[in-house]
Amino acid sequence: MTATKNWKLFKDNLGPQNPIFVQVLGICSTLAVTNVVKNTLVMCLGLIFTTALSNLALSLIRNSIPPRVRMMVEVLVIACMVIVVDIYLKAFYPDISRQLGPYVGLIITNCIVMGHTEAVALTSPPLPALVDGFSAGVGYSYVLLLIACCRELLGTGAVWGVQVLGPHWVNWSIMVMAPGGFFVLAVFVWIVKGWGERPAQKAQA
Amino acid sequence: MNARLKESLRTAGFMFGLTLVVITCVSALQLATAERVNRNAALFLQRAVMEVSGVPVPEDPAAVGAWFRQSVDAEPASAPIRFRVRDAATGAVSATVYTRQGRGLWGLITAVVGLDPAKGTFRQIRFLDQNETPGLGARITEAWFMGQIEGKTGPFVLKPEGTRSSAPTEIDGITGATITSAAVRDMLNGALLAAAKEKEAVK
Amino acid sequence: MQELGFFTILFSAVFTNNILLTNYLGMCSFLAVSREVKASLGLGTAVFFVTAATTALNWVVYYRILVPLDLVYLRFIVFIVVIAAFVQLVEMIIERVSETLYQALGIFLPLITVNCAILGACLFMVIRDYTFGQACAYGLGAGLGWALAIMAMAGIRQRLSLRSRIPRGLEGPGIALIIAGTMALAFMGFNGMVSLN
Repeated sequence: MTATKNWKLFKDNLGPQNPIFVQVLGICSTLAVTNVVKNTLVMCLGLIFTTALSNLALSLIRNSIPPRVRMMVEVLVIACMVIVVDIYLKAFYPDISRQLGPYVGLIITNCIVMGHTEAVALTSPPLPALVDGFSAGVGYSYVLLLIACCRELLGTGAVWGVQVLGPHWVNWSIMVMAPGGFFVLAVFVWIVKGWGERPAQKAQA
Repeated sequence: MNARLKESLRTAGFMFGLTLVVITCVSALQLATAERVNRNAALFLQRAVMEVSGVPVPEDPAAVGAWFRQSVDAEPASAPIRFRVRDAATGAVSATVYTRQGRGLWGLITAVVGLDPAKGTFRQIRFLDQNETPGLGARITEAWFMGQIEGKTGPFVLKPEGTRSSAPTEIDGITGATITSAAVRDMLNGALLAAAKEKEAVK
Repeated sequence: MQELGFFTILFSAVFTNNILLTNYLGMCSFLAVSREVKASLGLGTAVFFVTAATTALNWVVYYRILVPLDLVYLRFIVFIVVIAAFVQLVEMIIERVSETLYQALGIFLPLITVNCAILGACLFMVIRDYTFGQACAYGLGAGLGWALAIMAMAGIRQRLSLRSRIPRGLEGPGIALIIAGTMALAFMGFNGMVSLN
């Protein structure tokens, strides 16, 4: 029973409840690094780690948190997780850490992390909270990875640093720069929303 | 009143305890990895020195360290910091490497610049630290930009935009990132000046 | 080696390197609140004040407390706590001093603590080794740039909602992202200007 419930929670976060498509939430810190797939993957792993573990930790102590300092406690726990990610990257992946610069730290203010600790971790027992945090992170990550693939492919003709498109390909420099991120995300949102609307229209007709 | 005071105390105590736990965990982790982080930084510098002196860089960190100990005389006392790279076979100085700093648009740019003392030409430049705008100033780390000085004698001027000359004293700036390009130009010329001064001193 | 002046940093933070349009920071509230000009004016002002003040405040904390004590790795926690405390303080002061101001800005203040732009400005300020004056300029510029972007966006969206037909799938966030992208392109046009100084 609980297993199926958790599975449903997991699926919802990947599909219909995916925060990026529903409200375009939480793209702040990560969209900035989507011009290279490798960096995006690292950021996404960091984000999954942060959402999952801060959800778990907050859910464990949820009954003893004084209501008045709720926000502060959340921020403190999230910041702790992010520092762990930052230190880990610095120690084991120094090159990537150098490229990501301040963006790892900005996971703290990512709306998705905050939103899920607020909505789920403070109200549910540890296991569902962990599942929810993990799946929210995964749901968010696959979208950003798709975006990163598009941007890197069109912007540099390569994916994961491997040249895919031939020598005749002219790089769309705009894709690696800031506006490209906005446009690609807009197109994604458009496609997904359009897809969701089709069955509804058919039903009407 | 008493109940409220108790509540406040509990809140303060909770925050204090949580902060203490968090800071202890983080500090422990930091201390545990501090040595590794330092080693990474050293390795990064060694790799950069190796690249700018035109030596192929091996994958293995230990090999980089061994090469560095064997063929590089660092002279940290001299300012700016300089490395002398010796050829493994002949023992002659095959490259001098200077650490240079410049002000980019967003902050300090730190780089190592390699010179060939025999020919008086540039080898390569690698950036150790820069915070320029991604897609604009940060393009100084792209291979075409770093490679374009190789074999040239300098001192450099920035190529006027839209021209197609290829004079050996001109480097291609980055469109829209004039401050960054100028900073790099000054760093390159600074390295040349330092080398010239050294030669003078030897004479 | 020439130090960058106050106005160069201010100008580039507002235009050429707008924290929202080039670093995507503060997108959440940007997309959520930019439907009408009035609300975005309120939020923009609040973000401007908090960014300007906390950047300066965090500079002092970082260079006078964290660096001497060798606790630099705790900066994320310290910065976010300073921001949260500052926002709380401002909320209390505004509530006591002016009822109208509280009505206008009050609802936005809790949103601000988790606005990435503010923490982002603080982190960039540290990474770029700014002096105190430069940090102040950057804080002012980043806040101003963010406020400018959200107000421009709200103006465009308001007009758009009146007289244009948008494909169904693009309504809401979709079209907002396209506008933001176009604005980012437009702001890139300022790039060459900094070098004129």
